[in-house]
Amino acid sequence: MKLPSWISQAKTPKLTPSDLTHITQEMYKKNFELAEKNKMLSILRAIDEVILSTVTDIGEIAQHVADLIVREAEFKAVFIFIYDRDAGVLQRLAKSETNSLAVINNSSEQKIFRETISLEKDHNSIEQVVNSRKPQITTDLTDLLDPIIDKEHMRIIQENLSIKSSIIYPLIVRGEVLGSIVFSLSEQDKNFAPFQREFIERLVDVIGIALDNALLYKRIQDANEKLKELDKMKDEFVSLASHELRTPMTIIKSYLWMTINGKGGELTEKQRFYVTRAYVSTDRLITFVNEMLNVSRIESNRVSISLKPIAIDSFAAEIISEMEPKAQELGVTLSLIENEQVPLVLADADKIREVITNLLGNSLKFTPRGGSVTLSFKQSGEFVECDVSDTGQGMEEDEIPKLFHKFSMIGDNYLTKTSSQGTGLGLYISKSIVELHGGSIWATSEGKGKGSCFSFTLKKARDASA
Amino acid sequence: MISISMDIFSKIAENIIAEQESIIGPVALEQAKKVQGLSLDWKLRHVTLTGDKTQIIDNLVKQYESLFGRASIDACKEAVKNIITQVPQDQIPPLLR
Repeated sequence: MKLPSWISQAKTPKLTPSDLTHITQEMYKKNFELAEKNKMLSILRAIDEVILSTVTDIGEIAQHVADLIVREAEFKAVFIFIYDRDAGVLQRLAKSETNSLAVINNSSEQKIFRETISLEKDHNSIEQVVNSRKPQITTDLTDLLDPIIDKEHMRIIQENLSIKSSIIYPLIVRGEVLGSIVFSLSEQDKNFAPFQREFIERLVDVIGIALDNALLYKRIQDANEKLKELDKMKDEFVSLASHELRTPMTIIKSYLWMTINGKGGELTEKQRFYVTRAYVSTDRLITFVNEMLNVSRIESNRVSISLKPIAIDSFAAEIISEMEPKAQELGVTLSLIENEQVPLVLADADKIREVITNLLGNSLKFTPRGGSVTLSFKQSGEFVECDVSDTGQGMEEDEIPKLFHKFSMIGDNYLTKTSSQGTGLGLYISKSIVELHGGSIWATSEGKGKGSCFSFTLKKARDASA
Repeated sequence: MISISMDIFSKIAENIIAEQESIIGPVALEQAKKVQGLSLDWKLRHVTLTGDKTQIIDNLVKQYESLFGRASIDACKEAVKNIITQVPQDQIPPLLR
C-alpha cells in the first residue's frame, strides 16, 4: 500500500540511543506510579471489605482498618480517635498493633499514647485539628502527645520508632466531626508524590464513612433495644391495669344487676333507666378490659391453643341458635347454609367460638332491620372456609385494609363512633386466633350499602386412620 | 563479623524482583536472571545467591538502573525499606544505602 505523500515527505525524527534511554526511563516512572496507585486501590478495596463485612462493632472496625493500613501501606503507626460529645473528649478507638510500637517496652512510655484527649486546651496537635477541622503535619511526636516526658527522651523514642512525620486529619462526615486519625510515616511529607497525598485523603474519607456507618448501626441497635424494652413495659402495664380494673368492674356490675332486679327495693322508672344505662356501660367496659387482656396475652405469646377435630358446622349451628334471640330483637334473619358435607377441622373450640361469635356479632350490628346474616362453609384444598355474609352497610375498598388492626374503626374516627360500634379489638383478636390455627382471615365487600363477607379458614383434620 | 542469615539477602533480592515485576512485568525476571551469582525459581519464589551477596544485590539494582534509570533504584529501596535494617551498615549494598 502506498503511503500518502505528506507522510512520506514528513521528516522522520531520528531517535538516538540517549533518546530511547530517556523514553524508557520516563515510561518506567509512569509504570512505577501506576503500580503504586494499584497498591493503594487494593488497600482501599480491602478497607471496603472490612466495612461491608459482618463486623459491626466500631472499635473492631477501627482496629482492623488501622492494622490493615500499617501492614499494606507500610505506615509506621495509625491512631484513630472518636469524639465523645457528652464528655467533650477524644477517645482512642484504635492503635495499630505494629512492630514499631512494640519497640516501646517501658510501660510509662506506653502511656504517652493516651486513651483520651481533652479538647479544652488546644495545645496538642490532635486537639487543634479537631477544633479547627483542618489537617496538620508534624515531624515532632511531642506535638501529638502531652509532654509528660522530656523532649530528649521523646526524640529517642521517635528514633526507635523510625517515625519521620505524622499527619493528623479530622474525620468529618455530613459536616460533623466524628474524631481524628493520625498516620505516622517513615518519611517526610515533602517527599510524597501527588498520588500518595491523594491516597491519604481518600483513606480519610473512607475511614470516616466506615466509622459513621458503625455509629449509625449502633444507634439503631440501641434504639431497637429501647423500643423492645418499652414494648415489654407497655404489655406488662396493660396486663396489670386490666387485671386491676376487672375485679372492681365486675363488683360494680353485680351490684347494678342486683339493683335493677329489685334486690335493694323497687326502682322508679327513671331510676331503672339510669341504673340500666350504668349497667350497660359497665358491661361494655368489662368486655373492653377482657379484650385488652386477650390482646396483651396474644402479644406476649401467652395464648395457647388445644387443637382437636371438631365438626365446625354443628358447632356453628349451636352458636347461631344462641344468638337467634339477639337477631330477632334486631329484626335480622340469621341462618346457617348447609349445602355440602363439611369435613372435620382441627381447632380449639373455645377460641373458634370467640371468632365466630365476633364475626356474627359484627354482621348483626351493621345490618339494618329486615336484612340477613348467613353463615356457610366450603372446602378449599387442605382447608375449610367459613363465610359470614350480611346485607348490611358494606365497606368501601379503601376501608378494608384498616380492618383486623387494633382499634380499627370503619368511619371517620374513633371519637365519632356510634354507640353500635365496639372496642375495635374484636377483629384483631379473631385474626390472631385464626392465625394461631394456621389459617387466614379476610373481608370483602361490593361497596357501601352492598353488604360484606368475612371469611376465615381452618385446617382439615386428617383422618386418624390414614 | 556478625553472621547474617543467608535468608535475608535472598529475601532482599526477592523483594526487589517482585517490586520490579509489579512495575515492568516479566521483563523484571529476565533482567534478574542476567545477574551473575543469582538464580531463581520464580514459581516457587525461590531466590539463591551464590558468592558475595552484597555485591550480587548491588549488581541486581544496577541491572535495573542501566535500563530504567534513577527511578528504578528508588523502587528497589522502597521494596526493601522494612527489611534492610536487619543488615549491618557495612554489608548493605551501596546503591541501597
